[in-house]
Amino acid sequence: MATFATLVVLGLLWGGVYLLMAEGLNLIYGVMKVVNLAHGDFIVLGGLLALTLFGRYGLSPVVAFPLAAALLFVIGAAVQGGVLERILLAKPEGELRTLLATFGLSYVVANTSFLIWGSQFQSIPFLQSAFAVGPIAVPQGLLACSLLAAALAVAVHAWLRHTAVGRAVRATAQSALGAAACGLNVRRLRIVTFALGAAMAGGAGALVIALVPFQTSSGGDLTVQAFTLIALGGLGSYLGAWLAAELLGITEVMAQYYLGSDAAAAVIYLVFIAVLVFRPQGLLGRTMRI
Amino acid sequence: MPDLLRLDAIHAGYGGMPVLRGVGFALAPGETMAIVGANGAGKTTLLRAIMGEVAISAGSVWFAGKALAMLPMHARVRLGIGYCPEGRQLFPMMSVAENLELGAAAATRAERAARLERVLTIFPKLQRLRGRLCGVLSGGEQQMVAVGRALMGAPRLLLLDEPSTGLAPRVVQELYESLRALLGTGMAILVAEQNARAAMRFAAKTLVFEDGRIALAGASAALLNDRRVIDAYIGAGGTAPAAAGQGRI
Ligand SMILES: Nc1ncnc2c1ncn2[C@@H]1O[C@H](COP(=O)(O)OP(=O)(O)OP(=O)(O)O)[C@@H](O)[C@H]1O
Ligand SMILES: [Mg+2]
Repeated sequence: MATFATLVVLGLLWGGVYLLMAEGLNLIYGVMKVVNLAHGDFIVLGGLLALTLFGRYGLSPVVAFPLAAALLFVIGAAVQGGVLERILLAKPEGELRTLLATFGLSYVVANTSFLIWGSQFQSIPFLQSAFAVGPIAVPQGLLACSLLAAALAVAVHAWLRHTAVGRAVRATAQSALGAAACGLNVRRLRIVTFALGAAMAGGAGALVIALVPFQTSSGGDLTVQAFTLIALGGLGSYLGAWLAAELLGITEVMAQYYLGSDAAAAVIYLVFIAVLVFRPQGLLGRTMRI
Repeated sequence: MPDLLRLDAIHAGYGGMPVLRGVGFALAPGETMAIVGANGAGKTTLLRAIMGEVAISAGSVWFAGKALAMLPMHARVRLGIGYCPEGRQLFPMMSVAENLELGAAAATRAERAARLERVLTIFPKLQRLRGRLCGVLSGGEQQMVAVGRALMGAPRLLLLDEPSTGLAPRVVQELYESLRALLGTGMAILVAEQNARAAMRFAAKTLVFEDGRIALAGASAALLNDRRVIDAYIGAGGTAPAAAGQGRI
């Protein structure tokens, strides 16, 4: 029983980490209906930046978090403003071309990272001890990441609900034409959204590299993982992504413990497919959109 | 009086396919105008060209003495053009109040509150729907929100694309009665309609579009009794009810 409780707690914490790595993708998808295929590479870039800051200056990932987020914010704004906005204007099929552009971008980011950091797996040794809560051993790094993920999720949600810019972003998500007809600068809102989504990816990377080693080519897998999560939650759904993250976290930890790590990946995708068979719109699709 | 809106021989279309071919007219402050014509005549495209949603390949659009050529839509809205696009384009996952308030995104908090008051007096039904999500409203209620949201920007010119779509005849009449309450404030209204009779009873002037050109133009009262207009856009028995309707409204 104690083991089971430990597994549940670990699963919930890992769910937080998965959520952290998917929130930016969810925001961008929710607003622009574009899957940013460079998302995972943004995460890796943030992580490797944190690695350098740790190696050179001894900065902890918690300090690197805002720096990585800021760097990716700037990159994200440049990408959306300089590239994707122009492609979107080239109707029809602007969205499809945008998707392909982010695919190309993922190579650019990954290969640039490769030139700077090389190809080996790297991680930051940070908060590696665990503390005991009754019979449960909670790894500190995992707890820190998970708490930050939750804080970030709540903050983004509050921003979207209760600030003028957040409301304008949600309006743009629900009808870009309607938003423009309200006098909102939709182009600028999309740039802010993409930049924020990229910043969330970069920040996530800076923390997660303390838990999971990255190599410069890890981005593709991370994109798939984040995309699986938001599809499971109901693309663009805020609470859905959270639910999906916890479901995947618990499933993975359980499967790893009872079936071994080789089976775990397969079990996760079985759960994913099973959910989509019965709820093609995702756990909370359509009802809880931003 | 100087023109509020003026179009000089504009040409516009989609991806090289011409739709509007040399459309020109002017609208003074406080004027009302109906744009009628068959499906595909170019009514929606005309409104889109005025808003910058489709690019103009020749000619020019002027609003309050300013050439609009390079302005994006939101800048045109901020100059004072309210736009209710085809399909209403509400924010379905937001409440009626949020939709309306977003219409005054550029205004101060006090202005927004005052305008909200005013919109709720024009459409009193929206009062009790304030907290309701727009996605679950009836078509007529949604149309009130759409018009109300455009009014929240305190426009000098209001463009309406097919406000009567999907509404029962009685609701259409109610909607136009509400719009009538806006006249006399100096706001000009341009309404594109399939429902030619309702729009022409409302607006003082009418432009009849055919194939991207203005085929007929004149006072709505006269065109409502024009044989060509009745045959093509209003249908049999149009004359009598139209005349009666004018008396009633
Ligand atoms: N997005 C688009 N891309 C390409 N062609 C379009 C597009 N929208 C409209 N058209 C074409 O432009 C022409 C004019 O269409 P428009 O929507 O302006 O007509 P309308 O008078 O508003 O018709 P309706 O009464 O059906 O609303 C039509 O031939 C239509 O097929
Ligand atoms: Mg139309």
